[in-house]
Amino acid sequence: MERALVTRLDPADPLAVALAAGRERCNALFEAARARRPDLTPEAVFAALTEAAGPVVRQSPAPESTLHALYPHVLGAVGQGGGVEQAWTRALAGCAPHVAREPGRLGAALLEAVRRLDATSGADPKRWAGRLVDLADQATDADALLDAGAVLAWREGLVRFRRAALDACARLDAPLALAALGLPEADPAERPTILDRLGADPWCTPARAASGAEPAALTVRTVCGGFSRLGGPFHHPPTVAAEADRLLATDGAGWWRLHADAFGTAFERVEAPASAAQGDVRLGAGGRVRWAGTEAVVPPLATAPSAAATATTLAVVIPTSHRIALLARA
Amino acid sequence: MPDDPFRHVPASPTNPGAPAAARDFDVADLYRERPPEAPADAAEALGEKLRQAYFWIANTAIISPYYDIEYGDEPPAAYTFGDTDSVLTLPSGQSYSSFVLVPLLTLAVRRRCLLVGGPGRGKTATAVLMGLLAGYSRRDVRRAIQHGQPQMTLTDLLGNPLPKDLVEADDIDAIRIAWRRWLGMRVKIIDEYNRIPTRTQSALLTLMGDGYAEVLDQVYECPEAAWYLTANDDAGGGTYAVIEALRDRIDVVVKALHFSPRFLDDLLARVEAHVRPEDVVPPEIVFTEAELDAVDDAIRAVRVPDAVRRRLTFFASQFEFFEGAAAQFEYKTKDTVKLSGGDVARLGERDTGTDRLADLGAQTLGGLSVRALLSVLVYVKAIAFFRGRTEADLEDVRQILPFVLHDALVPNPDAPFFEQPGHAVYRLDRVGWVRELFDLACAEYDRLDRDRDDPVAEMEAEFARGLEGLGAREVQARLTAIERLLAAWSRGRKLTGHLYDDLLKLKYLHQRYTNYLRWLEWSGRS
Repeated sequence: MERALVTRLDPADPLAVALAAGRERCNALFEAARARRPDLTPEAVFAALTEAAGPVVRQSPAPESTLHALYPHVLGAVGQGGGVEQAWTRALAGCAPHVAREPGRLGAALLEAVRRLDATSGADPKRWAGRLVDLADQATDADALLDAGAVLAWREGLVRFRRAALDACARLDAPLALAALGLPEADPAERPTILDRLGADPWCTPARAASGAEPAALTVRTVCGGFSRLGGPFHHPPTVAAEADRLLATDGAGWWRLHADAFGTAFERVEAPASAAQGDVRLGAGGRVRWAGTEAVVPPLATAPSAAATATTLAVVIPTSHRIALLARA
Repeated sequence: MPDDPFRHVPASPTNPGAPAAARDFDVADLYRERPPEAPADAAEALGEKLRQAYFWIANTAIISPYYDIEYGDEPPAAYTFGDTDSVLTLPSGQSYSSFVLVPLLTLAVRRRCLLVGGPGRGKTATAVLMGLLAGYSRRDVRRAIQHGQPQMTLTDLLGNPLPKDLVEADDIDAIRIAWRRWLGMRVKIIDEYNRIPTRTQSALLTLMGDGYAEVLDQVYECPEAAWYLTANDDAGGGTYAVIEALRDRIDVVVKALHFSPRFLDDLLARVEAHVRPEDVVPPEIVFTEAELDAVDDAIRAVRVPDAVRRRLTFFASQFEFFEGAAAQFEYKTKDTVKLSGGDVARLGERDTGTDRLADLGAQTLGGLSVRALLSVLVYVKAIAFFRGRTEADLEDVRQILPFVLHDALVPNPDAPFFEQPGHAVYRLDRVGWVRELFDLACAEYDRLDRDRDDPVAEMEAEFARGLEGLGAREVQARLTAIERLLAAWSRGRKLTGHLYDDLLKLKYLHQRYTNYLRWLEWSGRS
């Protein structure tokens, strides 16, 4: 086995002391993890211990219990592809003072966050970790750090957490909330107005909310969905429906809630609704659309098999496809 | 000619072979200085030291000329004697005396060994030698022996509260205990443990099982230790019946055989030289605490290859299944019968359509506990390490199994197997019986061609590669494969122990895939 690349710790290093105290447990947990994941290598674990856990343990008043809490997450993060391990290491080391105070909770939460981001199309876990580290000094405690992380994750594309992110923005100190929204220069006094605009229109970006610009014409904002064998959710071409402020889609076998806003789209499996309707939308000849007090002509919608709308989003199934076009006023 | 034949340790390698592999993950590698020797070399040196210790004991200290753990590269020469066709074999490979080897392996893996045999057979002397090999003085070892006797109390075993504290203390926490010194030793010897009263046996159980002693709410944590218990009669002939839980904590049982008068000359030499073996243990074979830790590490690193593990699995699958025990599939076990107060032997006579002579499970009254299987694995690795191997082989399992399962596998004396010509002897000879059981299981394994035809093993291997990244289509295909296999096997096959475990494994796999598929669908990843 090649061990030359492992940098040996000073025995007086708090990480070394903590490892010595928990040696048998650490070794046993490694073997248990390797039984499940034969590709787990000692070198990778040593590197993660040094780079991710080390900075936290050194900041901790109780290095042994900190390592005890972090070690299972180290094993969970090592070898995860798609930048999960790198992003987690970056977040852990960059937020070390916070993690040292609550290693078990934050170690797990940060790992779960980078895993979810990694599984989200278009999201970049490493970019999220970098932004979180930039904000770490402004966070007064672990709760504030996690709230800021939730806002950043929403901006990365975790649209299912839109409501939670907006609630977090309201809880955070105004400068930190605005920085998390990507508006570090905004006037803290404007926060309530910005949050109101963001809450009212899912297609409103933080920049537009800060500028106060009104939405303009109806346009296609994004296309989502797809065939299940090609990475999409649907086994058959879908139809769409609306239930209150929720957009739904079904392929005849299952139902999904469609989350969509300026940062991305996501499908969430749900039970079949008790009742679902088209919503306040009318499709006319030649692709004429009447919806939410506006009227527009979108020629591809002339043959759309299904359409449904909420107050802010119009969903239209693209003919002969498994995909759904989402329209809103830009 | 060496100066002192009793202390002489030959310099020649005892069993040249491939070095044992070192443990490849140890967080200590991150902070401690690398040892001067490469780990593999160190493990090999310790293996050699262990073998030297064995040969010194077997050739010089304990006169035990019984090579009952037999190895060979080719079939042994065999000679038959007497009207009962008693067979004497001459193994072609290096073979060992269980009475010396098994206690020595117990020292290496720090487990619990019961030495049984009549008085004066060297049981206590062997245990004392193990204490000396662990680095203790003869005086310390002798003083630390706990002699079982009918009046033995908890305080005799564990220690006394200090009388001054008993008088002056305001609360129970202030009462200090003068713990007996033997509790802190890494070799513990209980002589004639079946003469200890039942209540004191319970304290011994806590010590052996959980590694701590308790008196008046004060707790003493004991270090990991090798335990040696002796008994003149293991079949219930002691002053007190041994509680079952205590018996269950014993990992391995070895018999002290009789003294062969053909070796009287050796005894005479000792008398004339006025030598007791425990006074002349060569320092080269005494282990430090760190060396014993390293031996334990090296033994754990010994691999049990897939081919060996599968035969062991097949063997262990034979015993717990009991078709008439329950309606629910999962409860069709001998445990269910015993927990309901039923009689496994009597109920087993009912016809279930299986051939009770061929069914190995019919020969036992119970299955194998997790503890027994753990002990099997540990001792299989230990004997392989002792032989200088990095991987255990089938013969390691075959040779060590009878000693580990000696008390763990209880025979059903009413089973048809024991009525067969020449088999009555197995009612008395547990070592021979367990080895015969293993041989029969291996023969059945070969008959079924399980090395090449084991669809469950293939499915296990497929599952072991992990679920991460697995698509719904592949999961569906695997679920269908499981269902097809179950449907095929349900047509006209007799339900046997190994099939029962296969079916439970298939159900487990089916459930894991079903849950995963459900998660895939609900998370939108299908």
